[in-house]
Amino acid sequence: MSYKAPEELKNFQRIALGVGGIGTLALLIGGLISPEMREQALRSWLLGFVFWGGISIGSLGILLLQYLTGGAWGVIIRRIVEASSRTLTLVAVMFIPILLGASTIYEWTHPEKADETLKRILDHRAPYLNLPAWIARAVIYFGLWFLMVYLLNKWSKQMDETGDWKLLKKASQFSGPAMVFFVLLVSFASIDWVMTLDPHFYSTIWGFLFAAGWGLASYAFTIAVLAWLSTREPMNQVIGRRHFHDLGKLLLAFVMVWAYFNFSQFLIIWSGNLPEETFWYLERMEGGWGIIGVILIVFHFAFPFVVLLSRDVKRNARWLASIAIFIIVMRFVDLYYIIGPSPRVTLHGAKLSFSESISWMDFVGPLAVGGLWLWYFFGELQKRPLVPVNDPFLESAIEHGKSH
Amino acid sequence: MSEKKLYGIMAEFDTPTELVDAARRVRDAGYTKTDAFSPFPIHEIDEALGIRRSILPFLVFGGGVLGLLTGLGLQYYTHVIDYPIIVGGRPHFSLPAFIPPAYELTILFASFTAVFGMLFLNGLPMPYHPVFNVPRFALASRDKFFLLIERRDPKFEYEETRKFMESLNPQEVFDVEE
Amino acid sequence: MQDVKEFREQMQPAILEGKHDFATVSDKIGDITLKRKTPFHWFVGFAIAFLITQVLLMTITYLVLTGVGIWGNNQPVGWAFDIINFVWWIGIGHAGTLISAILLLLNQKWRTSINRFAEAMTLFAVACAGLFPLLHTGRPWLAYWLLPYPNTMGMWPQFRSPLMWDVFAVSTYATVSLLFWYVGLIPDFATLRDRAKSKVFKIIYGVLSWGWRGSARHWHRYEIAYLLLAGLSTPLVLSVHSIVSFDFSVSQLPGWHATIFPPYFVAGAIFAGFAMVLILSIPLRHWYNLKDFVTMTHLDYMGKIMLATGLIVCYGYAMEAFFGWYSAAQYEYFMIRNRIWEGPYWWSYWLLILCNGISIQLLWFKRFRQSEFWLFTISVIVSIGMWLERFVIIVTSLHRDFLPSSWAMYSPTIFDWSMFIGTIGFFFALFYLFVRFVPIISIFEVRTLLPEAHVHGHHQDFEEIVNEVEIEKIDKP
Repeated sequence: MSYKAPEELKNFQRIALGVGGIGTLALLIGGLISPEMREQALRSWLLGFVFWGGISIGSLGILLLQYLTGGAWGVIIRRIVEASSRTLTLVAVMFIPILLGASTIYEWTHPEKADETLKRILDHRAPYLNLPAWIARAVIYFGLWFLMVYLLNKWSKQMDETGDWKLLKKASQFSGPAMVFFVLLVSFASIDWVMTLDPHFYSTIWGFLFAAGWGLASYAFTIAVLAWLSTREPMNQVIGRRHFHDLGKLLLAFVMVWAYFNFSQFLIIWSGNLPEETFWYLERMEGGWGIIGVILIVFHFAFPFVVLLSRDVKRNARWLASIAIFIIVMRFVDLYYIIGPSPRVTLHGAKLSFSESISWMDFVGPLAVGGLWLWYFFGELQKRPLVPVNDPFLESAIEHGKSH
Repeated sequence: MSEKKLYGIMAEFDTPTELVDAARRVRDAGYTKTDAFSPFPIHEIDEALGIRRSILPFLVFGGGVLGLLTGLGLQYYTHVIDYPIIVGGRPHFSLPAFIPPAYELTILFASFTAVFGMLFLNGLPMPYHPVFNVPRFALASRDKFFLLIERRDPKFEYEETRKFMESLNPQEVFDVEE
Repeated sequence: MQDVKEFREQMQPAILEGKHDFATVSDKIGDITLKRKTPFHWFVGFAIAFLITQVLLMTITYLVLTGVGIWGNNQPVGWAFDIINFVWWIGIGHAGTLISAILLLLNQKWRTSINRFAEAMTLFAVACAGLFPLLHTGRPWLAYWLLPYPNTMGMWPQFRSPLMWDVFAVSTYATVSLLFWYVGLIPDFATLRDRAKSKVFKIIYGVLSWGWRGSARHWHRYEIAYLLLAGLSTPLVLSVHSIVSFDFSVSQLPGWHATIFPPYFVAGAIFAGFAMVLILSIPLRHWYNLKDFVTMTHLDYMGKIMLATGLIVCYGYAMEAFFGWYSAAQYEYFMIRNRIWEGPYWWSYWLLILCNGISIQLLWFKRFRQSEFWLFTISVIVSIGMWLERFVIIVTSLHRDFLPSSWAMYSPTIFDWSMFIGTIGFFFALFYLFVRFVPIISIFEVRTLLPEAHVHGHHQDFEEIVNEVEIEKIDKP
């Protein structure tokens, strides 16, 4: 069997590229209108970048994780997460606008305009939080991620070609130390790119929040792709109900972990009630933002949680994929909840209410990035067989899906 | 002997595969008041004997919901209705702070339901049961597998059922007395 | 060139060694409790543990008669050994629940031969842990005031306090762990009942097994209940140590108030817990000749989990240090400087890094994970390290109060030590009793690991057909 990807993916690619192209153009034109609009365009691009880039980076994390744990689910999803991880090239390119526009969206790049309190803080943080260091760190993040993506994909391809299954052991051994670096990189990248949008705020759990959020988004995305593939040749021969059951269980776990980290952060800050951090949630409870918070509690946690408790939902490809897509949408809402209320540079650090803040670009930005990203992803997905054909555990992994 | 009442007929097997095969034949022959005994759970036996999926998960879900409501209700009653007092500048109804206890009660109630629900549905504890009258049945908790057809089964006919049981290729067939 | 089959075995090694069948498994494990002569070393070990337990009892007696003033904690270090030991013990318990619940949900079959004694460890560790806050209330005979019940004072417990959450978390944890453990024991008690020769033991184990007879219908509900309990215990175990971490983190004290605390405490708990499981399982497998069931593969996996959780703990240290500086908050920054190099307790921080950060790096190498000596040594070091971690968090954060006039040093008294060492004796005494009277490995679950436990023949083909038909129905709507 060739395990070649279905031809329909080519159509998807065309649509995705169209959406991405038009969206990017719209954003570009919008950004030229005024400085405020330029900031908005870049913020919306950042939103898209953090969302879709997170799926690339998160998929790398899942790739490492499945090499570490082993098990049927990893063999089955490996090719999808590999394809997602290879989109890192595009993600790095899409980082360039943020790199160039850093001083447009990050308030900390203008310590000279800061008030006394902020100035004291920024002076203290200057050895870490300065533009050259920030750029250098971004280079390091991408460089090391690239190395991981490159090696794991190279070995996987070699295993396809040569049938040398010892490469599996190599990949597993590599994944342990790589995971350590991966988590550190995710932590500092999310601090640099997202947390510093608000130059006052800090939270020690931030890295975990993003590791969980990006992991959840990429995992849900992988499930959605897999469910679609399972309705077509050749993957309908490979995937069984038990696979979805296993994947669904892990999805439930991811949802719970996300809720757990977020609730922990909220409860600790709420109880401490210290002005240097409690403002962050206060802003997100007032000015219309509170509704989004409630939406997140109900639809990012409670609803998927209750639905995924059901064994029947987890074992049904269509239902599981629906809930996965729903979670992906909620991931976007969550990121918007984090990024949206942060201070605006063009308004001298003022923060906007929800109705003032929301802009058409907040939808076009993620669509633009997403279109380009999906175009690249579907291209990568077609390049290799949809399962690791020479993996020594492939047979048992397929068998596993058919058991109870 | 004759004054003791018969409870059913039991057959002994050596392996779980034999037990499942025999159980399937017993089911196909139309017997319904049957049971199998094994030293560990065998998933295939559920389908072979026609055991329907237990309602336990739904009971446990209900238990959890009850626990959650109890937890929230208890804290609401004590801190909002019965003795409202401001502590540490927090509101009377401090939902974030009330979540941990409510969460623990959810798990506690659900766990109680799981354990005692299981025991209740299984009719345990049961200090006496006729199957223990067969001396070899002690091995059901070690390495042997048993299949039982009860006398109250509508299709039960002593001679015929016993002959049928013997045709299943068991190690031995026993009469089980009440 | 290695053969694929061999390679698979190397990647996923067998978790049972030696030749076993249903009967030998039952007899080998059951006979430790029922038939084998109690070994001499059991009496020696139990006697020592029992003696140390007396130290605990004497300390408690003196404490109750005198008051908590006999301990060294006093303003500003109002919490010290009592809470350190509480957190240390309850953390150790977490590995038992992780093995019994989380690994079950993850379908990790190797948990089967270690879950029973790991769960027992959980129960005994929680028992030791519970003593400390109970006695620290000062008047433990009034501890029931912690529970919400309508009383003549017309008052209620304060649910906004994390200490109240602790009451609910720890009591739920103890109850559910006990239930989980007991449910797992029911079929094994039935095995002992059927194998016991003496009438007395037949009756005792008969009562304990509640008349279990291994009926297919019972197994069906039993397995569902067991899985559900695992599903409930998993979020429970995470919540318990998170709530323990809330005891510190919802306060405003620098060094305590950090959002990373919940996951970092949970990881630390599992880390310390696996160290204790290794400390217990390495001698057990020798003394009771259980090497077929608790294999080097088991020890290797536990070493890996210890490494993983240890690294998460180190991540916590790193983030605390980084944000201590990054926060640019005066008190935070002072705290972290004081903790690491400026304060009088700097040595405890570096000792902690040595124990929890440096020593575990050896576990990256198979050579160390495959050596009982090294695993045991590292586990002891980690146990000390995790105790030190709580010492660092609690004492160094408290001893420098916000006003320099309130600064003070802390030193434990002899009663702090005797109480702590006493609970270690109590823990091992309980564990010795457990080893003597209860099957230390889950017999019925080990049976399911044997190849002959799988049903095969034409039956399986039938299953496959059913599955394939249903898959098509589902996936091609």
